[in-house]
Amino acid sequence: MTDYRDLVNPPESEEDEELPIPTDSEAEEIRFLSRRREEVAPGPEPGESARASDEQLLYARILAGGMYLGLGVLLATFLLYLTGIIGPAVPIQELPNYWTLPAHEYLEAINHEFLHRDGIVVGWGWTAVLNRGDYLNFVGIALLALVTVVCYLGILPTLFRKRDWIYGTIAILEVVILTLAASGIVSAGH
Amino acid sequence: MQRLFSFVRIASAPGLLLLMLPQALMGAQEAAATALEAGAATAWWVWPLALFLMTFFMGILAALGGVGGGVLYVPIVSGFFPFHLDFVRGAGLLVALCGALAAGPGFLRMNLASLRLAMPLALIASACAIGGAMVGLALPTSIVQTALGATILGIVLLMITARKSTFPDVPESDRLSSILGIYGVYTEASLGQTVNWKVHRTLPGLLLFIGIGFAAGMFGLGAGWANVPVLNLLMGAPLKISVATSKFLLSITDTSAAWIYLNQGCVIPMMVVPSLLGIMAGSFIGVRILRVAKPTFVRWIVIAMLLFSGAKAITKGLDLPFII
Repeated sequence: MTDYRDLVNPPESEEDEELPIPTDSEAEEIRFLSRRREEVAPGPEPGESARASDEQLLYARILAGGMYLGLGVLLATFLLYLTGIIGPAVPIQELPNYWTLPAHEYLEAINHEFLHRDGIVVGWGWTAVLNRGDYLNFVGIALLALVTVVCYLGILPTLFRKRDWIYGTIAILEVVILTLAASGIVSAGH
Repeated sequence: MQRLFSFVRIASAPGLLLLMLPQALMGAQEAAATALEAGAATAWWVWPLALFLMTFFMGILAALGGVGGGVLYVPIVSGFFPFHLDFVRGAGLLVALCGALAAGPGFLRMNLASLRLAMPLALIASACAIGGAMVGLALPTSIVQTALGATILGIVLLMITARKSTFPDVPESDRLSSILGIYGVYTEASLGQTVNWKVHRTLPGLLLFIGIGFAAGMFGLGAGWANVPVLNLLMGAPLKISVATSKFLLSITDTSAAWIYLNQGCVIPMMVVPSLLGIMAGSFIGVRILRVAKPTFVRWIVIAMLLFSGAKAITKGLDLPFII
């Protein structure tokens, strides 16, 4: 009985000789066994390129661009904060008095002492106090945390164009999860 | 002999400095506490500067020792700095996230990180990381600190006992990985040839990522310490694929948990930015030292640091005196 592996992947011959031309029935058997091999043990074909897929390269491009943008914004806003060009909500020299507190107590204390708003700044509330140097840093942090969502949205058209419905669905679900996390709907605290 | 001396000096200097730093920090902490009692206040820049220096050396050790910055950051900073654990975890997740964002594009382009391998695992882990973050923020700090210490000691045990398999033997893909098309080809530079790979035990791997994601969210740790053994030893991905995919995975897992901490206000920019700068500068230097340093020796330094920090976290959580 012919080993299908020899038909699909003929062993290399040390002698320099021409490969035999398969008959019609042998060619049909090779095509059948190739399909069967794919079903039984899918994997890269011998000699398949080590090049990344289109969606993977696209993901990498978006990831790199978003990372540089987020880091750049974060560094710029931190300089504005550190130099006092944009005054902070909490004076820098007062920070050691508050950073030992649990997060909720910290937010209540700085709201009471410095911000004097109706409620503590949680969720996306920092967007309302971007005129304060410390909260301005949240722009860069948010950009870095949003990069992954943008990457997934970016590769969706490629996945669906390839009719890769499973990974398209996985990507959509991931976008939903990350958006849920970012939205502030899911909350916790002491 | 001179080359040997230079090598030992280069390999051991960052580790020994890092070993001495907690002692210095503990001394500074005691001095600061004494100064506070005397009515004087520690200058605001002292701790952010110390944080920058600490994360700089962490970045070097992380690059040399093959661990992520996150697993070092939370236990060490929570044990030896005055910042509350809520802010340390928030900063730790952002530090791990930025490290993953920085490394991810390169690994993806080189096809060392596999998007097809990462996406299903990341879906599970990121969902569970949200749950972990919520639980971690809801529990009393002492419980989280104690659990953190126990987890860190567990990580130490894993690092000591876990084997690594450069090219695991995977006879054939399992049905789930076949359906998902999880396989690939990459160029192994050390051999100068392409390597085909596939995975098996995909379902057990997915189930383990439930716990990995939960722990990452709860403690603010990067999950690389768990990702790599699962990918490499359980699922059979080659070691390089496992390490690179794990690093890339963190960018997804840590994003979901980071948002929970961010939305709860658990982020202080004066902590986050010096930490990010320190870790990235340290990683930059660490990659260059890697050529001459002995990673195994540095790995033992990292294990010692984690042992120290884990014990410190447990004693802090249980309000016991720290003997060392």
